[in-house]
Amino acid sequence: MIDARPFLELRGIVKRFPGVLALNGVSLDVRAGEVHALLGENGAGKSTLIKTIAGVYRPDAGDIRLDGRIASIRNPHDAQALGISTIFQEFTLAPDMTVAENIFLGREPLRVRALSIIDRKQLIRRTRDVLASLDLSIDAEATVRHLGVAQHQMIEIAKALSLDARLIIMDEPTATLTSHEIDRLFESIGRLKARGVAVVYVSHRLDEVKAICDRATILRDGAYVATVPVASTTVDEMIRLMVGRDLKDKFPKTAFDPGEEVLRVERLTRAGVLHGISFSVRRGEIVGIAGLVGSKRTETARAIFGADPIDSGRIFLRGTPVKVRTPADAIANRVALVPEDRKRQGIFAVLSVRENIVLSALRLFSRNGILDLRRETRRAQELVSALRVSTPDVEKRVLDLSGGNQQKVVIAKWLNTDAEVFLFDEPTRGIDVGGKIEVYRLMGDLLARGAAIVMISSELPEILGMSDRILVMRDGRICGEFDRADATEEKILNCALRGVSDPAA
Amino acid sequence: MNVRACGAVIALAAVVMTGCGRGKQSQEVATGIVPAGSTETAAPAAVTDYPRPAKPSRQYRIGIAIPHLANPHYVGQAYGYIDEAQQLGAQVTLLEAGGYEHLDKQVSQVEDLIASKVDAIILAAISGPGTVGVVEQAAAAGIPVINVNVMTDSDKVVTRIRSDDDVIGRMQADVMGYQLQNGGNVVMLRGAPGTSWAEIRGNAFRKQLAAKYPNVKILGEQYSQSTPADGLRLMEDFLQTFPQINGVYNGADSTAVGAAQAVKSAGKAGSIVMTATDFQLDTEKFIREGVITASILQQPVTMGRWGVRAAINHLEKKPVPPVMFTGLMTATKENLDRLDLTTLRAPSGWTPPVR
Amino acid sequence: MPAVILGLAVIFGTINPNFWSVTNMANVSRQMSILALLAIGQTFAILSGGIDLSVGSLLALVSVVCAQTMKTFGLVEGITAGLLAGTVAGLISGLIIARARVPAFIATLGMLVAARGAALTLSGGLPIAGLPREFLVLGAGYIGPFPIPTVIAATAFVLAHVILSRTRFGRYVYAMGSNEEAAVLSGINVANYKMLVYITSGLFAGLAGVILTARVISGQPTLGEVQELYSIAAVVIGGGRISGGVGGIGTTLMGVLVLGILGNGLNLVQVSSYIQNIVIGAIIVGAVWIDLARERRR
Repeated sequence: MIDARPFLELRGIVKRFPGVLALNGVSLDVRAGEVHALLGENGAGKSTLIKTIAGVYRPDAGDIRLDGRIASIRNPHDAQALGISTIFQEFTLAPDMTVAENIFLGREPLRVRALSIIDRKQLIRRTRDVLASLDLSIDAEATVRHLGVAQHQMIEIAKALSLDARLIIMDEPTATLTSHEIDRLFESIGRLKARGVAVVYVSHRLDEVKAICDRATILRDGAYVATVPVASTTVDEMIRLMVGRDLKDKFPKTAFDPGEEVLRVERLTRAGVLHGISFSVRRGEIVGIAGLVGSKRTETARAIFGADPIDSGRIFLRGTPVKVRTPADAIANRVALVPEDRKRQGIFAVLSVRENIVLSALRLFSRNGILDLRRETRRAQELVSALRVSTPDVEKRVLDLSGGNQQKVVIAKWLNTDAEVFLFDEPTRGIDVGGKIEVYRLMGDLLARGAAIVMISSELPEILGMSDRILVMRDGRICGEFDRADATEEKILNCALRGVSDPAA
Repeated sequence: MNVRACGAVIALAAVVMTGCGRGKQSQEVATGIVPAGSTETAAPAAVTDYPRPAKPSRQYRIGIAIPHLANPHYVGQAYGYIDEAQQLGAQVTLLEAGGYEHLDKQVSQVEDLIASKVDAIILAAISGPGTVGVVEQAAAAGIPVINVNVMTDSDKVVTRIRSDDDVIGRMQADVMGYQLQNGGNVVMLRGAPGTSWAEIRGNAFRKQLAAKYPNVKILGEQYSQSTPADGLRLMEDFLQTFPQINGVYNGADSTAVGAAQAVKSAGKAGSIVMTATDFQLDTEKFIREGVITASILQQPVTMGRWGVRAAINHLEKKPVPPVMFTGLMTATKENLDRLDLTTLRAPSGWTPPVR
Repeated sequence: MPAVILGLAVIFGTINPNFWSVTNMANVSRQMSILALLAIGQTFAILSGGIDLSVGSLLALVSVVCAQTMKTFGLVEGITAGLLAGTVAGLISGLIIARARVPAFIATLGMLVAARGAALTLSGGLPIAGLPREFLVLGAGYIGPFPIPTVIAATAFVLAHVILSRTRFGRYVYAMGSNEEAAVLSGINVANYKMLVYITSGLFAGLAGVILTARVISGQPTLGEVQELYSIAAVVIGGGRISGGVGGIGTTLMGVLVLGILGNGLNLVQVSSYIQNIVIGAIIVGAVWIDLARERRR
């Protein structure tokens, strides 16, 4: 039963991070007993907003009210004390402890207070009560490690309830559940509603939102767009609200006549990850790969690059089938991968620009086994000026460069290896607008020289602006393919969000 | 080997010349513990000492390197060095290596002494072969080296001062043989591997047993560092391995203390004959309690004094005998309170100026 | 850092002019050369993002193998066997780290214990004497005014510097230490190069062990206790970062010099060796703290 008065109210929330305005005056109100969806694209601000409610972030401006009174949430502990519980995508259960121990972790009923001796009987009894209230048939004394993911989720909900939560935030709760398990989850949510608990439901799966949610708030680019009643809003309308922007011309794109096919992959499969991925790329063209978080696009690129193994499928380079088991094989076949996470996978932070640039092609710079530092320096300087990397000299540590320049250094490294196929994974993530344009320009130069590019991106404008062809992936499969001329954001999102296939067998 | 033979002859000569007289240290050995007439084997212990020379006109600088200062034996030795040096107006640098396992440190220390151009070096060597290099280096630099207590395998050493380790071994064998008249089984805790004292004493023990007490069998032997913890561990292992042990030989007394503890905990105190060398406080305690039957006492303070005297005499261009044996005593429950300990232990409360 | 070293030297030299004597300098450099060789191997290990805790025990193992082989076969055979023992031990550590993917800390910790045990077993716990007199020259001899161990250590430093700064192997060591995942994605065969790192460390430990054996002209299974920690201290004091990727032979040399001069200087001014340990401990923490503070201010 939904209470008309709002339990939780956010007004004018602003949150800044270095270089990025994550939330720009966002408002939200949630009523007791309601299931309220939070929608938006990647980067719209959903994650930042729920973290603000949960006390992980403190807003730079705006206020939060609970039951009409201003609430001060300085940390997750405060949030919990106020009855706000969050179930994040990364679960926080201790795998080697029992269900009961996990639910009451830190709040175990004590037999002798002074000695901290736990009252096991009471612990089990209270756990059973909580589980029963959700009609769950999980054994209170089972070890968490032996239970399935779906049950982990239930335990998290039970834990939240045991904390007398009045608001439970669920972040992508169904990402790892089978349809059967999703039904059970929805039943639990129904019970929560009946008890007057409010739920904030963050998800990309609009069909589910339609099934379980009462209202939905849409965010776009950190701003509040609208709040709509789910029952009377179509999925199309929701998508339009999520997306609606003008596509300015911030993408320098020259069309090239595509040449011969350079890369072809056939039915790449890896159990549980990739399911029969097939596509091809020609010289002079950019194939963009769109999809949501968890659609396994990065895994596809890594499989082609030999960083991850495959169970079956074939890779053809310039028409010849090749075996790519390690990145060294890929490099030998003139494939390059610019990884998703620069810091962890792309740059050698404490080494110099020069050392980073020459690393994958040291053979070119050594004479009789000894490295020729002068030749390295010269080449590094060439590339630094060609790519317009902003650094006083090539001896500077890469750590000290800006994100965009770091990315250029990574790209420069691959220019040394004579690569023909470039796999870019989120090439402009974390780079400001000016830097982005530089990277796009670079891509154009590569194409002019006859390279082929595969570009994975979560930014739809980027995909639409730069790609010649667009593939859309969902759950490890390609579910759609569009030409540049036909593609629109709505079509892509539709493909990525909807889907008739059964998620994760 | 040549040196040793020579030294033995001279020592014997010294004994003969002094007519087997008794020195200040009276040799009261109770009957019933050690065989009667064993005072004869103990006779060399009663040799008159190496007298203090006149105080030299120069202040000599003497460097001293010893293995460690972790038991009263070496502390006693240290007192001997330092007090004697004071009497003779010499300046002393005392270095210890932190244990028998730190051979490389001792080698470095001797090198440092050579570099600081001391007039003489007194060395209680951690390893016989291991210190040959530095001794020869010292000799090449014109610095005389005197071995005290533990010997280096080099003939460049000016003189060797120690107890007659051979006698120590034999005396323990005599006690063992006498106590185990009807035969028995014995285990040996020999002490620090590679040291001259562990070798000589242990070998003498074996030889004497084989010669005079053939019905006493040796079940096993172990080397270890000279610490009570090692003695405890080895004795516990021995007790586990050999159900019937009648006697325990100890090359040094730190292991004896640990072994005595093990025997006591196993409830076998008094039913196992334990012999030891030297006389730390716990050794004394265990003798009183009857856990240790007898201990052969060296005179470390005397060793220290003779070391300094030998150094001074050599530097003053006087002849120095190549081998000198300091005296020995036997301590048993009966004579504990009558022992004169001034040559064994530093005065209570004295601490060495450690570096 | 060079300023610190010079400063220390001046202080000690003033308090005890013996510090500057040729014999003292020769002694110090001879005594430091063992630590120096261990520190070189350790530099490779730490730079690559790992660590080698076993080098102290390897000294003992090498000593025993070298001595026993020398007694049975001869001088050259003994030296070769000692070097081989160190290298093979390093290879085993490398295999465990690179192929079985056991963390370096654990793998070399295991080798620390196992190598010591092997040394004690092979020698029966007893020192091995009776080595040819000529062998002593390696540890105690001179080439001109320079002690032979010092010359060997200096040569090793130069060689190691060239390898680290001018060869592909050296570059890959830095890359692995800076970001192993990125190294894999850059096409570097990380597994192979890691093995090479530990083989190198074992080889240098082997060299140190042979020289040490020559100094004491006997095989000693008790050598090297705690030396691995000093080798790590030398790398870190000089400015190497324990997480890898930062540092080099030059900085390690600084660390070795600091430790050596401190030890010798404090000896000469008659500071007890127990207090010396406290001082060294404080310097290790202090040096790293200063390094990190400078880093944070950037």
